[in-house]
Amino acid sequence: MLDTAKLTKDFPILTRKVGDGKRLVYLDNAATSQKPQAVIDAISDFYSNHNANVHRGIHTLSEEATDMYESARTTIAEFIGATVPQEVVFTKGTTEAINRIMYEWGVENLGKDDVMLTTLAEHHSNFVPWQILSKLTGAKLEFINLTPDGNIDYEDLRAKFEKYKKRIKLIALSHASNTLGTIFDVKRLVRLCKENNSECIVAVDGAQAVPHMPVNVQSLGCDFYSFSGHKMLGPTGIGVMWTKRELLAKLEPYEYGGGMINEVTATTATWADPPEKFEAGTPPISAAIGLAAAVDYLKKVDMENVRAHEIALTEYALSKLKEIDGITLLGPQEAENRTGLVSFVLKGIHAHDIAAVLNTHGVAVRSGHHCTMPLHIHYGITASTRASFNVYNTQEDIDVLIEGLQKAIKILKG
Amino acid sequence: MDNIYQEELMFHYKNPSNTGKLEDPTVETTANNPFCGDKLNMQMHIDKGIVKDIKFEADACAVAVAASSMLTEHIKGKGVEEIKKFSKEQLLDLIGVQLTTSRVKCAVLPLEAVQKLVQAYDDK
Repeated sequence: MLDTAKLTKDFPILTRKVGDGKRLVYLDNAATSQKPQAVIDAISDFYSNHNANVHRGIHTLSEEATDMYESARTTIAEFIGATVPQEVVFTKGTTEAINRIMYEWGVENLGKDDVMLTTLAEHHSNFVPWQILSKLTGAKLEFINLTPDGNIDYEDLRAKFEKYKKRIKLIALSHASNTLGTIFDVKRLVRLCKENNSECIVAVDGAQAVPHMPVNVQSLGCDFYSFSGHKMLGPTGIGVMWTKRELLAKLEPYEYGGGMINEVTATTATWADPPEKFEAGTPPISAAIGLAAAVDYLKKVDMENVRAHEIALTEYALSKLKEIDGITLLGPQEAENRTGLVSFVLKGIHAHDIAAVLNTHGVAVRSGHHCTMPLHIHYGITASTRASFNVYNTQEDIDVLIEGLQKAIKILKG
Repeated sequence: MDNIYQEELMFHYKNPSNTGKLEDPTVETTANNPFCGDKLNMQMHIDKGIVKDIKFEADACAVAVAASSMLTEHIKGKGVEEIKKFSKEQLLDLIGVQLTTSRVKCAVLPLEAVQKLVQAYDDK
């Protein structure tokens, strides 16, 4: 089990006081996570001692920087179970990774007879690109129905397979929902999808999964897997587009320039091999190194422990929240089927006011639609409040949340 | 920062003036704050350049509702030309509570609606 008392000391920001001298109770981890000193130090160390551009020079600093950058790639590749490090393309985040899939795979491979499947639960970054891809290629975008507790309606999926058969060329979905907390059974979905059409591509948004549970892309069987560094204790400005090697070899880049070329003449250019082929310009070197430090930290904590800790916290949060009069909890009933977050609606009180009152207690939550407007429209909700956890959160944090909610009810309804 | 949930603001939130719908609106509009999910619907009945009546319906936070109540009370009976000059600063003065940057967006939502309406009247 996690020794959270010890672990919390690794995160310097958690000593901050907010507002009226209140202890910071940071429950907005689905938006971004806090950073352990080890990650801050790794970035600082790079700039203090090793900073140079990568892949370009033969002087000492450039060799060191290149080694550190490529070593970061290897660390991250191993962490997610990639076959080789070259399957990991660094991007600036999940959103860029998904947009790349859209341009580098989608535009070349989809046409007006094709069908793409996704869900209304998706984050806008795994939703809007597919809307645009539909407009660009004429491919139809269809939504797999959700169950009331926020999971895939497998009956509806079967019906879609029946209806469209081999026309279904892409399934885009999240590994875990940032609003519902649902962990989707990606392995099962990949199997069903490939049984229907072995040529169908499955692109997974793993932004809310990689930080919170062990992920092995080979075991999942998907074709693309995207995630961000900043949600997993790493810095902002770095993310990963993981692609199956055979598929990556067939893709054309959509960003051109230095670093991704082999040879350039006045009128022609040829490309480098993956992953460099997809990393034009100076890459986010320090951020990649920071992310590798975050991965090292998580490996020491052990992702199984992280998962167990978050299940326990979520179970506790669900049990306490259920007791509040007028509350509606979104997503699955059981903590084992969820990642560590809970979104809810309080009758007669706007999410924004809940967040404002909680803030006076030092509690940071998110209010609004969490970049999932179609989902909120689907459930008929204008805005919800979301509390999301990470390794440094404790049961005491949840107690402060509950206390704050009761205060909010008193002020705004009483 | 002031505690924004103090008496006057809470009074306007819990007992807002000018809520509902007009029977014969001259102009109507909606205003949204997509970042936090505030939604506002506003109608005016304007006669010879004077706002004779004004009503709003909101699915919004306390600041937006209270600001809508205070603003609509303030502009009811005034002329379109005068209302056009009503600024964000004047609105924040009217509310009288120090707001953070994100909360200012909520307070300004009804002003956005009001300015849209008087412009629509002018354009008619």
